[in-house]
Amino acid sequence: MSDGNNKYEKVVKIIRESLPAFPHPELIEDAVIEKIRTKDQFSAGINGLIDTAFGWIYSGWVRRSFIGAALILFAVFVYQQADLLRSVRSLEREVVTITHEQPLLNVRDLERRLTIFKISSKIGPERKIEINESQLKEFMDSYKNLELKYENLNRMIQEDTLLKKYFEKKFEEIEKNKSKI
Amino acid sequence: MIEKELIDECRNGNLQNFRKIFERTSPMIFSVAFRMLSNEEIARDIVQETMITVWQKINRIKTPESFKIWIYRIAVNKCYDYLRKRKHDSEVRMNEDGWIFLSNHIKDEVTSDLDNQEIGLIINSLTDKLSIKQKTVFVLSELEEMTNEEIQNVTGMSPTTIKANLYHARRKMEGLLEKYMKDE
Repeated sequence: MSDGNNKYEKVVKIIRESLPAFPHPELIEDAVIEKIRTKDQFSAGINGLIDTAFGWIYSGWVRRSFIGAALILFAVFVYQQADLLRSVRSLEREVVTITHEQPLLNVRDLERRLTIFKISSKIGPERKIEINESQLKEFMDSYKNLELKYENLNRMIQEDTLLKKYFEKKFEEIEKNKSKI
Repeated sequence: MIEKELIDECRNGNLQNFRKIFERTSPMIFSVAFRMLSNEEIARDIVQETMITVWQKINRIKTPESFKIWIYRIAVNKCYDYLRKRKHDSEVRMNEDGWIFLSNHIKDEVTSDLDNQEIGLIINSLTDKLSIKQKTVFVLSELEEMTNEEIQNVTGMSPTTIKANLYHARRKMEGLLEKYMKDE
Protein backbone atom coordinates (compact mmCIF):
# COMPACT_ATOMS: atom_id res chain seq x y z
CA MET A 1 0.00 0.00 0.00
CA SER A 2 1.47 3.36 -1.03
CA ASP A 3 1.76 6.33 1.33
CA GLY A 4 -0.98 8.25 -0.54
CA ASN A 5 -3.26 5.22 -0.37
CA ASN A 6 -2.63 4.83 3.35
CA LYS A 7 -3.35 8.50 4.01
CA TYR A 8 -6.49 8.29 1.90
CA GLU A 9 -7.83 5.38 3.95
CA LYS A 10 -7.08 7.24 7.17
CA VAL A 11 -8.75 10.47 6.03
CA VAL A 12 -11.84 8.69 4.70
CA LYS A 13 -12.12 6.78 7.99
CA ILE A 14 -11.96 10.07 9.94
CA ILE A 15 -14.69 11.70 7.84
CA ARG A 16 -16.88 8.59 7.73
CA GLU A 17 -16.85 8.20 11.48
CA SER A 18 -17.47 11.88 12.11
CA LEU A 19 -21.18 12.13 11.42
CA PRO A 20 -22.21 15.75 10.92
CA ALA A 21 -24.45 17.00 13.73
CA PHE A 22 -27.89 18.14 12.63
CA PRO A 23 -28.59 21.19 14.81
CA HIS A 24 -32.19 22.05 15.74
CA PRO A 25 -34.04 19.78 13.34
CA GLU A 26 -37.32 20.81 14.99
CA LEU A 27 -36.94 24.33 13.53
CA ILE A 28 -36.69 22.96 10.02
CA GLU A 29 -39.51 20.53 10.72
CA ASP A 30 -41.80 23.38 11.76
CA ALA A 31 -40.74 25.46 8.75
CA VAL A 32 -41.47 22.53 6.42
CA ILE A 33 -44.89 21.88 7.96
CA GLU A 34 -45.72 25.60 7.77
CA LYS A 35 -44.74 25.77 4.09
CA ILE A 36 -46.75 22.65 3.29
CA ARG A 37 -49.81 24.09 5.08
CA THR A 38 -49.48 27.40 3.24
CA LYS A 39 -49.15 25.65 -0.10
CA ASP A 40 -52.09 23.36 0.67
CA GLN A 41 -54.21 26.35 1.69
CA PHE A 42 -53.25 28.16 -1.49
CA SER A 43 -54.11 25.18 -3.69
CA ALA A 44 -57.36 24.69 -1.72
CA GLY A 45 -58.19 28.36 -2.38
CA ILE A 46 -57.51 27.95 -6.09
CA ASN A 47 -59.66 24.80 -6.20
CA GLY A 48 -62.45 26.64 -4.40
CA LEU A 49 -62.28 29.48 -6.90
CA ILE A 50 -62.38 27.05 -9.83
CA ASP A 51 -65.35 25.26 -8.25
CA THR A 52 -67.20 28.55 -7.80
CA ALA A 53 -66.47 29.73 -11.32
CA PHE A 54 -66.99 26.45 -13.19
CA GLY A 55 -68.88 24.24 -10.71
CA TRP A 56 -72.09 24.64 -12.72
CA ILE A 57 -70.69 22.33 -15.40
CA TYR A 58 -71.36 19.43 -13.04
CA SER A 59 -75.15 20.00 -13.19
CA GLY A 60 -76.88 17.22 -15.14
CA TRP A 61 -79.11 19.43 -17.26
CA VAL A 62 -76.15 21.67 -18.23
CA ARG A 63 -74.19 18.64 -19.38
CA ARG A 64 -77.14 17.28 -21.36
CA SER A 65 -77.65 20.69 -22.98
CA PHE A 66 -73.98 20.84 -23.94
CA ILE A 67 -74.19 17.37 -25.46
CA GLY A 68 -77.28 18.41 -27.43
CA ALA A 69 -75.62 21.62 -28.62
CA ALA A 70 -72.51 19.71 -29.62
CA LEU A 71 -74.59 17.23 -31.63
CA ILE A 72 -76.46 20.05 -33.37
CA LEU A 73 -73.21 21.82 -34.22
CA PHE A 74 -71.80 18.57 -35.55
CA ALA A 75 -74.87 18.01 -37.73
CA VAL A 76 -74.63 21.56 -39.09
CA PHE A 77 -70.98 21.01 -39.85
CA VAL A 78 -71.69 17.75 -41.72
CA TYR A 79 -74.52 19.42 -43.67
CA GLN A 80 -72.27 22.35 -44.64
CA GLN A 81 -69.52 20.01 -45.79
CA ALA A 82 -71.97 18.02 -47.91
CA ASP A 83 -73.37 21.22 -49.41
CA LEU A 84 -69.87 22.46 -50.18
CA LEU A 85 -69.00 19.19 -51.86
CA ARG A 86 -72.16 19.35 -53.95
CA SER A 87 -71.32 22.90 -55.05
CA VAL A 88 -67.79 21.88 -56.00
CA ARG A 89 -69.10 18.97 -58.10
CA SER A 90 -71.58 21.27 -59.84
CA LEU A 91 -68.80 23.74 -60.61
CA GLU A 92 -66.70 20.94 -62.07
CA ARG A 93 -69.43 20.18 -64.60
CA GLU A 94 -69.61 23.83 -65.73
CA VAL A 95 -65.93 24.28 -66.25
CA VAL A 96 -64.49 25.30 -69.64
CA THR A 97 -60.93 24.13 -69.98
CA ILE A 98 -58.52 26.02 -72.19
CA THR A 99 -55.18 24.41 -72.82
CA HIS A 100 -52.45 26.92 -73.59
CA GLU A 101 -49.81 26.35 -76.21
CA GLN A 102 -48.25 29.68 -75.38
CA PRO A 103 -49.06 32.37 -72.83
CA LEU A 104 -51.60 35.05 -73.69
CA LEU A 105 -49.90 38.40 -73.54
CA ASN A 106 -51.47 41.08 -75.76
CA VAL A 107 -54.86 42.80 -76.08
CA ARG A 108 -55.83 40.74 -79.08
CA ASP A 109 -55.33 37.54 -77.13
CA LEU A 110 -57.43 38.91 -74.34
CA GLU A 111 -60.13 39.77 -76.82
CA ARG A 112 -60.05 36.18 -78.06
CA ARG A 113 -60.39 34.83 -74.56
CA LEU A 114 -63.27 37.17 -73.85
CA THR A 115 -65.07 35.97 -76.95
CA ILE A 116 -64.65 32.34 -76.07
CA PHE A 117 -65.88 33.10 -72.59
CA LYS A 118 -69.01 34.77 -74.01
CA ILE A 119 -69.63 31.76 -76.21
CA SER A 120 -69.11 29.30 -73.43
CA SER A 121 -71.54 31.14 -71.16
CA LYS A 122 -74.31 30.45 -73.68
CA ILE A 123 -73.69 26.73 -73.50
CA GLY A 124 -75.73 24.75 -70.97
CA PRO A 125 -74.18 23.88 -67.58
CA GLU A 126 -74.18 20.16 -68.39
CA ARG A 127 -71.81 20.60 -71.35
CA LYS A 128 -68.08 20.88 -71.43
CA ILE A 129 -65.89 22.44 -74.12
CA GLU A 130 -62.24 21.77 -74.62
CA ILE A 131 -60.42 24.06 -77.03
CA ASN A 132 -56.77 24.86 -77.54
CA GLU A 133 -54.98 27.98 -78.66
CA SER A 134 -54.61 27.12 -82.37
CA GLN A 135 -58.30 26.23 -82.65
CA LEU A 136 -59.18 29.53 -81.03
CA LYS A 137 -56.96 31.40 -83.51
CA GLU A 138 -58.56 29.60 -86.44
CA PHE A 139 -61.99 30.43 -85.11
CA MET A 140 -61.15 34.10 -84.67
CA ASP A 141 -59.64 34.39 -88.17
CA SER A 142 -62.69 32.83 -89.65
CA TYR A 143 -64.88 35.21 -87.68
CA LYS A 144 -62.89 38.28 -88.86
CA ASN A 145 -62.99 37.09 -92.44
CA LEU A 146 -66.73 36.64 -92.26
CA GLU A 147 -67.15 40.06 -90.73
CA LEU A 148 -65.08 41.63 -93.55
CA LYS A 149 -67.11 39.88 -96.22
CA TYR A 150 -70.30 41.04 -94.58
CA GLU A 151 -69.12 44.64 -94.51
CA ASN A 152 -68.10 44.56 -98.20
CA LEU A 153 -71.38 43.03 -99.19
CA ASN A 154 -73.28 45.59 -97.16
CA ARG A 155 -71.33 48.43 -98.75
CA MET A 156 -72.00 47.08 -102.24
CA ILE A 157 -75.72 46.86 -101.51
CA GLN A 158 -75.81 50.37 -100.10
CA GLU A 159 -74.00 51.79 -103.12
CA ASP A 160 -76.15 50.04 -105.71
CA THR A 161 -79.82 51.24 -105.54
CA LEU A 162 -81.21 48.41 -107.66
CA LEU A 163 -79.45 45.79 -105.64
CA LYS A 164 -80.66 47.43 -102.44
CA LYS A 165 -84.25 47.39 -103.62
CA TYR A 166 -83.85 43.79 -104.69
CA PHE A 167 -82.62 42.71 -101.27
CA GLU A 168 -85.31 44.71 -99.47
CA LYS A 169 -87.91 43.00 -101.52
CA LYS A 170 -86.36 39.61 -100.84
CA PHE A 171 -86.25 40.26 -97.09
CA GLU A 172 -89.91 41.27 -97.09
CA GLU A 173 -90.79 38.02 -98.84
CA ILE A 174 -88.82 36.05 -96.31
CA GLU A 175 -90.59 37.82 -93.43
CA LYS A 176 -93.94 37.13 -95.03
CA ASN A 177 -93.09 33.44 -95.40
CA LYS A 178 -92.05 33.32 -91.74
CA SER A 179 -95.41 34.81 -90.66
CA LYS A 180 -97.29 32.21 -92.68
CA ILE A 181 -95.40 29.41 -91.07
CA MET B 1 -37.34 1.75 6.96
CA ILE B 2 -40.57 3.69 6.54
CA GLU B 3 -43.79 1.68 6.94
CA LYS B 4 -46.37 1.50 4.19
CA GLU B 5 -49.10 2.72 6.59
CA LEU B 6 -47.10 5.84 7.35
CA ILE B 7 -46.72 6.62 3.63
CA ASP B 8 -50.41 5.93 3.00
CA GLU B 9 -51.39 8.28 5.82
CA CYS B 10 -49.21 11.02 4.31
CA ARG B 11 -50.84 10.45 0.94
CA ASN B 12 -54.16 11.16 2.65
CA GLY B 13 -52.77 14.45 3.93
CA ASN B 14 -51.84 13.45 7.48
CA LEU B 15 -49.17 15.93 8.53
CA GLN B 16 -48.62 14.33 11.94
CA ASN B 17 -47.38 11.16 10.26
CA PHE B 18 -45.27 13.25 7.94
CA ARG B 19 -43.55 14.62 11.05
CA LYS B 20 -42.56 11.04 11.90
CA ILE B 21 -41.10 10.59 8.42
CA PHE B 22 -39.24 13.86 8.85
CA GLU B 23 -37.74 12.77 12.18
CA ARG B 24 -36.54 9.46 10.75
CA THR B 25 -35.20 10.67 7.41
CA SER B 26 -33.95 14.22 7.93
CA PRO B 27 -30.62 13.23 9.65
CA MET B 28 -29.58 11.13 6.65
CA ILE B 29 -30.57 13.91 4.23
CA PHE B 30 -28.61 16.41 6.29
CA SER B 31 -25.60 14.07 6.40
CA VAL B 32 -25.43 13.56 2.63
CA ALA B 33 -26.16 17.23 1.90
CA PHE B 34 -23.55 18.45 4.36
CA ARG B 35 -20.92 16.03 3.08
CA MET B 36 -21.58 17.09 -0.50
CA LEU B 37 -21.80 20.83 0.13
CA SER B 38 -19.60 21.28 3.25
CA ASN B 39 -21.93 24.01 4.48
CA GLU B 40 -24.33 23.65 7.39
CA GLU B 41 -26.77 26.37 6.38
CA ILE B 42 -27.09 25.18 2.80
CA ALA B 43 -27.45 21.58 3.98
CA ARG B 44 -30.34 22.68 6.21
CA ASP B 45 -31.95 24.38 3.21
CA ILE B 46 -31.52 21.18 1.20
CA VAL B 47 -33.26 19.23 3.99
CA GLN B 48 -36.15 21.67 3.94
CA GLU B 49 -36.53 21.64 0.16
CA THR B 50 -36.20 17.86 0.01
CA MET B 51 -38.90 17.29 2.62
CA ILE B 52 -41.30 19.64 0.84
CA THR B 53 -40.68 17.77 -2.43
CA VAL B 54 -41.24 14.46 -0.61
CA TRP B 55 -44.64 15.69 0.63
CA GLN B 56 -45.63 16.95 -2.80
CA LYS B 57 -44.59 13.80 -4.66
CA ILE B 58 -45.29 11.11 -2.08
CA ASN B 59 -47.94 9.61 -4.37
CA ARG B 60 -45.15 8.49 -6.70
CA ILE B 61 -43.76 6.04 -4.16
CA LYS B 62 -44.67 2.51 -5.21
CA THR B 63 -43.12 0.43 -2.43
CA PRO B 64 -41.88 1.38 1.08
CA GLU B 65 -38.61 -0.41 0.28
CA SER B 66 -37.76 2.15 -2.38
CA PHE B 67 -38.49 5.11 -0.08
CA LYS B 68 -34.93 5.52 1.20
CA ILE B 69 -33.40 5.47 -2.28
CA TRP B 70 -36.10 7.83 -3.55
CA ILE B 71 -35.52 10.38 -0.78
CA TYR B 72 -31.74 10.13 -1.33
CA ARG B 73 -32.30 10.75 -5.05
CA ILE B 74 -34.27 13.93 -4.36
CA ALA B 75 -31.63 15.21 -1.91
CA VAL B 76 -28.68 14.34 -4.17
CA ASN B 77 -30.36 16.00 -7.15
CA LYS B 78 -30.84 19.18 -5.13
CA CYS B 79 -27.19 19.11 -4.00
CA TYR B 80 -26.18 18.42 -7.59
CA ASP B 81 -28.11 21.50 -8.77
CA TYR B 82 -26.53 23.62 -6.07
CA LEU B 83 -23.01 22.42 -6.90
CA ARG B 84 -23.56 23.15 -10.59
CA LYS B 85 -24.61 26.71 -9.78
CA ARG B 86 -21.73 27.21 -7.37
CA LYS B 87 -19.22 25.85 -9.89
CA HIS B 88 -20.59 28.23 -12.47
CA ASP B 89 -20.06 31.12 -10.08
CA SER B 90 -16.49 29.90 -9.34
CA GLU B 91 -16.95 30.31 -5.60
CA VAL B 92 -15.05 27.20 -4.55
CA ARG B 93 -11.42 27.72 -3.59
CA MET B 94 -8.77 25.49 -2.13
CA ASN B 95 -8.47 25.93 1.61
CA GLU B 96 -4.91 25.79 3.07
CA ASP B 97 -6.23 25.70 6.65
CA GLY B 98 -7.98 22.46 5.84
CA TRP B 99 -4.73 20.70 4.98
CA ILE B 100 -3.00 21.86 8.16
CA PHE B 101 -5.94 20.76 10.23
CA LEU B 102 -6.12 17.41 8.42
CA SER B 103 -2.38 16.76 8.89
CA ASN B 104 -2.75 17.28 12.62
CA HIS B 105 -5.72 14.93 12.79
CA ILE B 106 -4.03 12.13 10.88
CA LYS B 107 -0.99 12.48 13.09
CA ASP B 108 -3.12 12.37 16.25
CA GLU B 109 -5.62 9.87 14.78
CA VAL B 110 -8.48 11.74 16.42
CA THR B 111 -11.80 10.75 14.83
CA SER B 112 -14.65 11.37 17.20
CA ASP B 113 -14.54 14.99 18.33
CA LEU B 114 -14.84 16.81 15.01
CA ASP B 115 -17.50 19.46 14.74
CA ASN B 116 -19.36 20.37 11.57
CA GLN B 117 -17.00 23.18 10.69
CA GLU B 118 -13.99 20.87 10.91
CA ILE B 119 -15.66 18.09 8.93
CA GLY B 120 -16.65 20.64 6.29
CA LEU B 121 -13.12 21.97 6.13
CA ILE B 122 -11.62 18.50 5.59
CA ILE B 123 -14.17 17.45 2.96
CA ASN B 124 -13.90 20.77 1.16
CA SER B 125 -10.10 20.57 1.01
CA LEU B 126 -10.15 16.96 -0.11
CA THR B 127 -12.87 17.15 -2.76
CA ASP B 128 -12.24 20.66 -4.08
CA LYS B 129 -10.62 19.42 -7.31
CA LEU B 130 -13.18 16.70 -7.99
CA SER B 131 -15.89 16.98 -10.61
CA ILE B 132 -19.49 17.03 -9.37
CA LYS B 133 -19.99 13.41 -10.44
CA GLN B 134 -16.79 12.27 -8.76
CA LYS B 135 -17.71 14.12 -5.57
CA THR B 136 -21.22 12.61 -5.56
CA VAL B 137 -19.92 9.06 -6.05
CA PHE B 138 -17.21 9.57 -3.41
CA VAL B 139 -19.69 10.85 -0.79
CA LEU B 140 -22.27 8.13 -1.48
CA SER B 141 -19.79 5.28 -1.73
CA GLU B 142 -17.04 6.09 0.76
CA LEU B 143 -18.86 8.22 3.33
CA GLU B 144 -22.49 7.09 3.17
CA GLU B 145 -21.29 3.51 2.50
CA MET B 146 -23.79 2.77 -0.23
CA THR B 147 -23.42 -0.18 -2.59
CA ASN B 148 -22.87 0.42 -6.29
CA GLU B 149 -26.42 -0.73 -6.99
CA GLU B 150 -27.81 1.81 -4.54
CA ILE B 151 -25.67 4.57 -6.04
CA GLN B 152 -26.91 3.55 -9.48
CA ASN B 153 -30.52 3.89 -8.29
CA VAL B 154 -29.85 7.24 -6.65
CA THR B 155 -27.78 8.91 -9.36
CA GLY B 156 -28.85 7.04 -12.48
CA MET B 157 -25.20 6.43 -13.40
CA SER B 158 -24.18 3.07 -14.88
CA PRO B 159 -22.01 0.72 -12.73
CA THR B 160 -19.04 1.40 -15.05
CA THR B 161 -19.42 5.16 -14.67
CA ILE B 162 -19.67 4.81 -10.90
CA LYS B 163 -16.49 2.71 -10.74
CA ALA B 164 -14.63 5.04 -13.10
CA ASN B 165 -15.65 8.15 -11.17
CA LEU B 166 -14.73 6.60 -7.86
CA TYR B 167 -11.36 5.47 -9.22
CA HIS B 168 -10.51 8.94 -10.59
CA ALA B 169 -11.78 10.65 -7.43
CA ARG B 170 -9.56 8.42 -5.31
CA ARG B 171 -6.53 9.00 -7.55
CA LYS B 172 -6.99 12.78 -7.33
CA MET B 173 -7.44 12.76 -3.56
CA GLU B 174 -4.42 10.48 -3.05
CA GLY B 175 -2.39 12.87 -5.18
CA LEU B 176 -3.52 15.80 -3.05
CA LEU B 177 -2.70 13.97 0.18
CA GLU B 178 0.78 13.10 -1.16
CA LYS B 179 1.36 16.68 -2.21
CA TYR B 180 0.15 18.53 0.86
CA MET B 181 0.96 16.02 3.61
CA LYS B 182 4.46 14.85 2.73
CA ASP B 183 5.85 15.35 6.19
CA GLU B 184 3.34 13.06 7.91
